[in-house]
Order: sequence, then C-alpha cells, then structure tokens
Amino acid sequence: MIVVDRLVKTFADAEGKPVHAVDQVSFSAGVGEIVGLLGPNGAGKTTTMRMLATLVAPDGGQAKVAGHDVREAAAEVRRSIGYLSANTGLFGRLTPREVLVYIAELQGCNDAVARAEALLDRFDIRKFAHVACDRLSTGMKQKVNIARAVVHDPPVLIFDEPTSGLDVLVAQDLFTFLEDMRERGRCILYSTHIMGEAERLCDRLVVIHGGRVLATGTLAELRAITGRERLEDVFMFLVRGAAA
Amino acid sequence: MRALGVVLGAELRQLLRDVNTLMFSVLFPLFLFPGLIWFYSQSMEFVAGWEESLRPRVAAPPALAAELPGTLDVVPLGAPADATIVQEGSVIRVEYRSADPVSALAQRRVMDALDDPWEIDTHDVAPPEEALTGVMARVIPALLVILSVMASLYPAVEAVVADRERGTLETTLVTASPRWVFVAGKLASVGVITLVAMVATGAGALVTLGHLALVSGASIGIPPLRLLIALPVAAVTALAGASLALVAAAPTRSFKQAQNTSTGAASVVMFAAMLGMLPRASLEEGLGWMPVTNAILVMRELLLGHSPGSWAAVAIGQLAVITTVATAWTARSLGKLEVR
Repeated sequence: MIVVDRLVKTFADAEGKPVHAVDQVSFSAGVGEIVGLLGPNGAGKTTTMRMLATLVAPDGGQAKVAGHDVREAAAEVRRSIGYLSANTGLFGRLTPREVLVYIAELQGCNDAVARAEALLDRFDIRKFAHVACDRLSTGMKQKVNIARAVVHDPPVLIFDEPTSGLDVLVAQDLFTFLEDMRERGRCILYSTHIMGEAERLCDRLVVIHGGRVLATGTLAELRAITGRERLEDVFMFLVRGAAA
Repeated sequence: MRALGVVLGAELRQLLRDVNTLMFSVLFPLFLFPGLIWFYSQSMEFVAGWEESLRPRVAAPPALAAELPGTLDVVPLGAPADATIVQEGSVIRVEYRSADPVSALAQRRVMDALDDPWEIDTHDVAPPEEALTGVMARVIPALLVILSVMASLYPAVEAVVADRERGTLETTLVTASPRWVFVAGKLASVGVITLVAMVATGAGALVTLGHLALVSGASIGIPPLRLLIALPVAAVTALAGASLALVAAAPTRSFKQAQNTSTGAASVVMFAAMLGMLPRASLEEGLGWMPVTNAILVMRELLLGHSPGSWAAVAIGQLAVITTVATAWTARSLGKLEVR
C-alpha cells in the first residue's frame, strides 16, 4: 500500500545552504500492517509523511500510496489516505458534526451526513457534537481529528505523532482504534517518539535519523541486529551508532 | 462546482460566527454612516483652507468690479459665472448656488469684499433639494466604497492567514478536492462579505438620507432608483479593494503581519475614494483616468442623474483588470502550498 523508494527532500537553511531533510529513504508498508517510523526530532519523519500526503513535493526518488504516485496522481493519493499530524487543526468555529460533514463532502462522499453521524458514535463525540471546536479540550479535539481523518474510510492511514498532548485514556482509545483498523486491512504508517507505543502497535519499524534510514524490520529483527532487548536500547544503539 | 459551494458555505459559516466580522462587516457600516457624515463635514472645514487657492468667476457690474478682490475672477454680467452680483440702487443682490462649493466660496468672498455702504442681499438660487443632493452625491459613493473595503479587511486576513495559524490548511489540503476550489472558495467568501457590507452601508445611507430630508423638509433629490443604478459600480469598486487587501495578506505568515499589509493596501483604495469626494474633483480634469477615484466620480454623476458617458466603461474596465490580476496573484500565493 505504501512503497517509498530512495525518496529525497532538500531544504535551504537560514544561510541558504542545502539541508537534506530526507535522503534516499526507502521502506514499505502493506495491507493490514502498522509500520512505525521512529526517529529523534529533525530525523525526517514528518517530512517523509508530508511527502506521502502530497503536502510537500519530493526532490527525488519515488513514492506510491495505494498504487498512486504522489507526484503524478496527488488527488488519488489524497483520496486514499487519512492524514493526521500536529499541524492538522480543526476549524474552530465549526462544530465537530460540521467538521466531519465538511471533510466528507470535500472527499467526495455522497453520504457525508450519514458517515459523520456514524463516527460521532464510534468516537464518542456525540455529546459534544454541537459545541464549537474552539471550546473543546485537547482530548476531545483529537478524537474529532481522528474521526476527521477517517471519515472517508481510506485504505491508508498516515498518523504523525497522534498521541502528543493526549492523556492515557484517550491514547488507549486511539490504540484500540488503530488495532481495529489493522484488523480491517488498513495500512497504517505511524510515527512516534514513545517507544512503548511503537512496541505495542507496530508490526514493523523504520528507524530514521538525519534523513536516512538506519534500520528496518520487526522488533525481533531489530533486536537481533543490535543485540539489545528493549526497544529504547535498540533505538539508542542505532542512533548513536549512526552519530559515531 | 459542488465542492466550491461546500468550501464557500464553510468559509461563510466561520466568518459569520466571528464577532469581529459581524461588527466590521454589518454593524459598523450600518450604524456609523451618520458618524462619518459628521466626520466629512469636519474635513470639509479643513478643505476650506485648500479652497483659498481657488479663483471663482463672479459676474459683476463695472462699478463694483474694481472693488472685488484678486481672489475672484470678474467677468461681465451675463457671462457664465459661479456667482452673480446685481446692483439695485444701494442694494446689492448676490446670487449663488449653495450646492456648488465654488459658487458658495464666491458668495463668501463677495460678502467679505463688499461691506459698507452697500446693503447686501444674498439669494441662494439652488432649490433646497439640490443642496442636499450635491452633498449626498459626493459623500455616498465614497462612503459606500470606503466602508465596504474596511469591512473586507478582516475577512480577507481571516480567510488567507487563519488557516495557516490554526493548522486547518493542511486539514483541507489532504482532501481529494482540487486546491483551486479552496482558493476560489476563500476569495468568494470575502467577496460575499464585502457585498454584504456594501448593502449594509447602502441601507445606512438611505436611512440617513431619509432622516436628513425629514429634518430639513427638503426632498432627498436622489431617487432610490439612481442609488440602485450606482450600486453595481460601488460593488465592483469594493471588490477591487477587497482583492487588493487579499493580495497584500496572501503572502504573509501571521495574522498581525497580514493585518498590517492589507490595511496598507486598503488605505490606498480609501485615499483614492476620498479624492473623489473633493468638491472640484471631476472626470474631465485628469481624475477620469485614476482608478477608484473615477469610479466614485462616475457614481456621483449617476446619483445626480447625469450620464458619465464612456468614463463608466473606463472606470469599470480598470477595476475589472485590478480585481482579476489581484485575484490571480492571491490564488498564486495561496497555491504555493508546500508546508515545511
């Protein structure tokens, strides 16, 4: 469902010098799989995900989502993904119900209202569905945002650090939801700083640092490569090894 | 087109739920019109200083001509003039038109020049409604445009910057709808709010006119039909102003920065509109080619029941070009949607 092949993105720093935010990154994620993107701040996780979401154009390499090239078939890619990040905010003066209907209509759903109503129950949003999003708590907003990301029932989910700022209860709801999505055959790309989340959720991991992929594989495979048991130790071993 | 309607609906819903938009786009133009009339009268006093440079033409009998000051051009009786002096024994009758500011200025200067031993009798030969008509025809077009452009400022800033600040830009850009739909929807929503503001201003103008007519006992002199004919010109002008506010706000990254830049752009439009309010401003004296100012003057002619001739096409053509270029530029700015 997601195939990333030698993807490159270069930005200019404050002095105009090129910075390789993403440098020859390759990985894949399949049907019914949660792939975790692990890396420290500035590793290139978010830029990679934004390229997959067609928000940023790659400078090199190729990426396909649900069989569509991110450069040549951006609209089809966007129709195929549910994208959630710290930068996907909600419309403050619209209610959760209105947000869901609005996004469903933009995604071309003919049954936008019915989809929105179903998600109000699925994510336990109904009791505050009439309140302007500006007035919601962080947890409530994130519930609406997750519902917003999946309102068109996409085959691919791209979630960039979705638990940041969430309490444990809301985070647990999210994990349950993602596991359910995996059961239903969705392909999920999930980035996080929190090793416990990655250990619980991810079938495979892509460790990225300085714009480059350091290692990919299941947790067991990464343990075997590094000789470390805990994911945190695996991660530190790979990142420090790259830095050295 | 369905997606465009969806975006327009959502944008308008958000704008109309905002207290600032409601205040500046509906209440402000509706209720502050009388206040601006007062401001205008005050500014006219300021303009009086500028009037000192004018030399009105006065028709006077030869016996009095020598007594008139150099600030008046004296012409023989019967010649076209801004004011006319007729001597009847020891009584001097000064005929002028209060609706014409130059004629009113001539009358004041004649009064200053011809003191004793003459007994001076002034006659305002303009019918009462003409005086009101003259002032209103100058004030209404400019205020329609100024208030509409002011009203468009906040929605313009809100439409192009708020999405970036609140993160809703990415939320919409990852949907399957084409990006031009979002751009067009935002532009259309600003246009709708601008037109709402203009209608509110027009309503305020009508109410004020009605009140003034009631108080003065004079006819308004501007039939509502003329106001309706002038409204499309005001709408085109206001939309051009709104598009300039948008083009100034589009490349900015913060609400405050956008407010500063769009206010600057709108101020240029408002200044040009105010030029059209000046008493001696006319289409034939160079201002016919000045965008916005010429539209104000075209509206003035329409309100007075005169035909602006080809100047209407010039004014509207210029504004259409400005609006098109500004809208395209804004769309281009908003179209640079790479987010780092």
